[in-house]
Amino acid sequence: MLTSMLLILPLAGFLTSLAAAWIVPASSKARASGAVQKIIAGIGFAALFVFAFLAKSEIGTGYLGIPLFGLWLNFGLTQLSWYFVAMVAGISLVTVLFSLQGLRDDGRYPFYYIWLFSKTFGMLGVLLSADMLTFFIMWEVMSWCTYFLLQQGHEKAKRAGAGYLVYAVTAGMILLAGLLYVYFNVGSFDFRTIQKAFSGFGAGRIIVAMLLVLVPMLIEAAAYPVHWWLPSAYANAETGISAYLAAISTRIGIYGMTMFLFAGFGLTALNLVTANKYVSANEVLMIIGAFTMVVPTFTALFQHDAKELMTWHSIGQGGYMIVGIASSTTLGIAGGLFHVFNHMTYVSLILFSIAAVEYRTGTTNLNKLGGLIKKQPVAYLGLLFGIIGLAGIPPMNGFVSKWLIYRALILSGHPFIALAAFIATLGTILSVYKLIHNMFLGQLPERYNDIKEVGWGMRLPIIFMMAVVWLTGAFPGTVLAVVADIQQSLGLERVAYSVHGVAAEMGQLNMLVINIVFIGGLFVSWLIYLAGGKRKHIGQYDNYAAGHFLDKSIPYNYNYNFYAGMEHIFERLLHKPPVKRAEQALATFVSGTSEYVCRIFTGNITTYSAYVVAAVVVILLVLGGGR
Amino acid sequence: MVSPMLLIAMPLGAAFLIVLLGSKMAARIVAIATVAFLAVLAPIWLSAAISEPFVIVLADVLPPLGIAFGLDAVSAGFALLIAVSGLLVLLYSFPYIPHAGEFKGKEKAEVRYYAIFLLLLAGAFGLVMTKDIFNLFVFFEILCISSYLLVAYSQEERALEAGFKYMVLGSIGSAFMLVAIGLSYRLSGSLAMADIAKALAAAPNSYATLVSVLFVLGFGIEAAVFPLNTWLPDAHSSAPSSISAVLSGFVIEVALVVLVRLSLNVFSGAMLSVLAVLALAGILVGEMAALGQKELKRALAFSSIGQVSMMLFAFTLGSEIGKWAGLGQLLMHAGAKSALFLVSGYFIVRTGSHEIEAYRGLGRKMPAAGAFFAIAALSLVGMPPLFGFFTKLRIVEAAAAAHSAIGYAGIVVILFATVIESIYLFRIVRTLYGANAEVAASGAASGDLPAFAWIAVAGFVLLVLVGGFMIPSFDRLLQPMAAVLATI
Repeated sequence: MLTSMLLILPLAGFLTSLAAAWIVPASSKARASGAVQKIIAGIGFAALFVFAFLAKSEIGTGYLGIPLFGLWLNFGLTQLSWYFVAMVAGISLVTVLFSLQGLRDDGRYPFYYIWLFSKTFGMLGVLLSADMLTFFIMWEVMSWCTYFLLQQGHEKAKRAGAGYLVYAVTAGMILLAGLLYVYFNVGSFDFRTIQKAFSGFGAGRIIVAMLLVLVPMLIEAAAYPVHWWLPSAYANAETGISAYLAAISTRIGIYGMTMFLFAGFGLTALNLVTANKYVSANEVLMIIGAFTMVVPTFTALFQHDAKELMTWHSIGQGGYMIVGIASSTTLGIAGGLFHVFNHMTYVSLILFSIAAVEYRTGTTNLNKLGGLIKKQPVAYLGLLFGIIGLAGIPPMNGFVSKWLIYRALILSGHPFIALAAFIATLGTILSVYKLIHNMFLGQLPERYNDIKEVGWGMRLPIIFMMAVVWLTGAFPGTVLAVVADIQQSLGLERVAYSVHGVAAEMGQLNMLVINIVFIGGLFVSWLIYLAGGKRKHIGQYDNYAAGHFLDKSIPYNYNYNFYAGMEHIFERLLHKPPVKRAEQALATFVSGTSEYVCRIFTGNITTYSAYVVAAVVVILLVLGGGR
Repeated sequence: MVSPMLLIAMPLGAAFLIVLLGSKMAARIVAIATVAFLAVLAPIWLSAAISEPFVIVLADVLPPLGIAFGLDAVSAGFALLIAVSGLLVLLYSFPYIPHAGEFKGKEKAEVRYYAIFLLLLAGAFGLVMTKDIFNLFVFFEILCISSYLLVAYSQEERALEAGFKYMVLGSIGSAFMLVAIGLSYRLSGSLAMADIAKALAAAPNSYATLVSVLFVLGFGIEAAVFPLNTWLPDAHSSAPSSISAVLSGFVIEVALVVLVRLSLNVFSGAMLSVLAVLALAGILVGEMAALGQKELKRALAFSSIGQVSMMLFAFTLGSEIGKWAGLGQLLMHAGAKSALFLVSGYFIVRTGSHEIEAYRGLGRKMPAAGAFFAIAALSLVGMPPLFGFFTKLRIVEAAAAAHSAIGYAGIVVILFATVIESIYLFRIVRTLYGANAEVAASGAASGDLPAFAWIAVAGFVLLVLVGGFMIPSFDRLLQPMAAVLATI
């Protein structure tokens, strides 16, 4: 069965690369070991990609039960899970291909491919789970593998990973409570049985179950205000891993949310809850989504590290998905699900470009870079395409999904949420301008004079992702077809799509026209450029400001501390954001309690004996007192 | 088939033989041969006991006058656990014990170590096999006194102090027990547990309560029931690591299971709900205190308090699945915690420090030790597919199935405790793999686990590694054990 290969392949890859690391000693033949790992990873992930697409024929054709541990683990493929499986397989292959050259063999990441395999296994396991127990088990596996993946590299990465672990284990434990709650209410772990049973339940039980199940999903999806684990964890990881994690790992939470909302507990159950006049489940989720869009996006504005800036955007873009899916309208769900794909493509493209710059310059600090456009043109173009997608500007794919979400919000009567989305987009544009300016535009610091473009091993994945970002923008119908199938399989109305966009009955969007206008516009500008007067080509240091020439000794400095003025205004909020303060307060409370508890153990034998006598007396009183 | 009385007789005899022979080499050989022999026979006794429990009558005198022993599924299961753990820990002791403490006459002391170790095993075997309450007391004392001695083995100041505290509290417990035994003998005129159970059921309520409380709390000191467990952090952290592993691995647990069995069958049922509340408090206190520790072995000792309370909680639920879960957790904990203590013993040997911070970067220097530590820690926290995941899942499942307030409270407490566990255990693991130029450069902290220690730790780690995959096989063992637990 092809579906089983989706689990067997990454597991086998994990075991073989682990064995390879064991056999080839890291100290003596580190390079050889690296090569072996790369070959295994290349073959493994390529095969996984092929099988992911072959497995499409097996959607809904039955279940794969694996008796293990005295339990019965059930796996199966649905339309929704296939969409995510294909994305996982695709992006992990691209990441591995990029890493073949992008990952330096300096021995800092000896377990890179091993944990990549295991993490992929965990994610695919979650996606393929056909019952809730399997889902929980694979969820735990996935969380732990993410932790190990984050535990590589320098001290800061390890500390950040530790923060992730606390959130992940908390999420897992809440999910376990939800699992037990559902099981003891329904008597089964099977999603279909759960869905049937829940359609007959009262609002109270549905709300408790939804809370216990959705909160872990929101933690994984890094929704506001449980997003704080993400920025430092992703920003300190190796850049290839950051790309992989930001692109798809976080989105497993979106998958879980969609699945539990529309397949797990059933739309009927959801409607029952949302029909309540006072508490509307989907509006609560949409408000969470709105906060997730706005707050992290504006936090991104003030980051001075390219990767950190992008990780904040990765959180913010998740807000669009949550808002779209939670709107539970045809257009909104289509937009939200499509946005998962689009975000995956452009965020990995941006992070690959950042990785290419980091590979040559050794830094991602936005205060130290600049003017690299001529040195690394491919990385520049990659970043340009990526940020156009991220900001949701035509003609890239991000525009289409955001268009769907905006339209859904306005049509479904949520103008304020739509406003939040617009504001967030404004913040996105402001911050991606900072990103591209501080890295590629402006003046080149002298120390980067000898920089060269990265090799083809890294250039090709960037160019490939550029093509994907543009082409799925020009032909959104290719992806929307899958999204429409998902909607149908969930019992929802299909989004009416055309090859070039959205069909007329749902509001006519033709990306072909937009592309023609866009390219035509470029052409016209070029004509104007040609028709213009005499031009003089000047060097980047041939510049002046405030009556001074700005030569090499005094480069113009406005990329340093970009948005410093705005930062000054928001200083208090940025310095100690409420969420961070709440998190710290909780940590202080726990460690304070721990200190207090430690005092029970005085080390004094007299106190200890007194405890024993006191316990005997108290229990005798409790048990004997009543009678 | 040879009589299961060998479980008690052989270690006792071998202990005296070791003292007579007086040489270190002879002590090692006699000890390992004895325990290996029992470890080979234990599975045979176990499979026989599951189908038909042994009843052993000494010197042809029948109870209530004679001394009664029995080997049923529970005692045989524990006999296997004790024998195998004992064997692995003995293997570990060979290279390790010479490192434990610097004092005069160490050669002689090592001989004594093996003799007392065998006495401890005899006490533990006797405790699970005895059917009458006075013998229970005798074997309990053998177990306790040999524990006091072993805790103080290194003769360092902190070890002597810990051993002394342990002894004082243990003696208080013994005194309570003795009073309880006297009271129940007065009531029933018999020392056999079955007779006492009948007599107590018919006795006035207050009398039964008094006996139950005195006995359960007296015994609870050894079983590390909160708040009687205050001796444990000192004792487990100051003992030689091989002894910490034994104490945390099966000594508390043996006491716990005997306690649970008596509470379920002999003493008043009200004790169970008291124990459930104490168990939840114990989980919280143990885990929260572990979070604040700076010494590795102290953190592990507090974690043992939490874990043992978790087992106790599962047992007090009273359901079949609860007992299964408790026994499963017990088995997993025996593997994981023993491995953690044994590995930390060599961390201390290599760095000369008890502080976690001193082990920074040690995981790279001692790759096997580091990997074993991480796997055992993962199982303790409950990462699938390791053993610990499934036992913890069963515990919360049992708690949910109880449909009672204490059950739901238990779920919340256990889930919260898991988060805390993951924080402090992985803070330790992270320190082990942290960057430290000093450790990387120094030659002092060189050398992974020695061969015998490696084998011992690997044995325990193997249990948590494959335990999850072997749950169907464990079912065949744990189900009869859970069923027998509800009988005397």
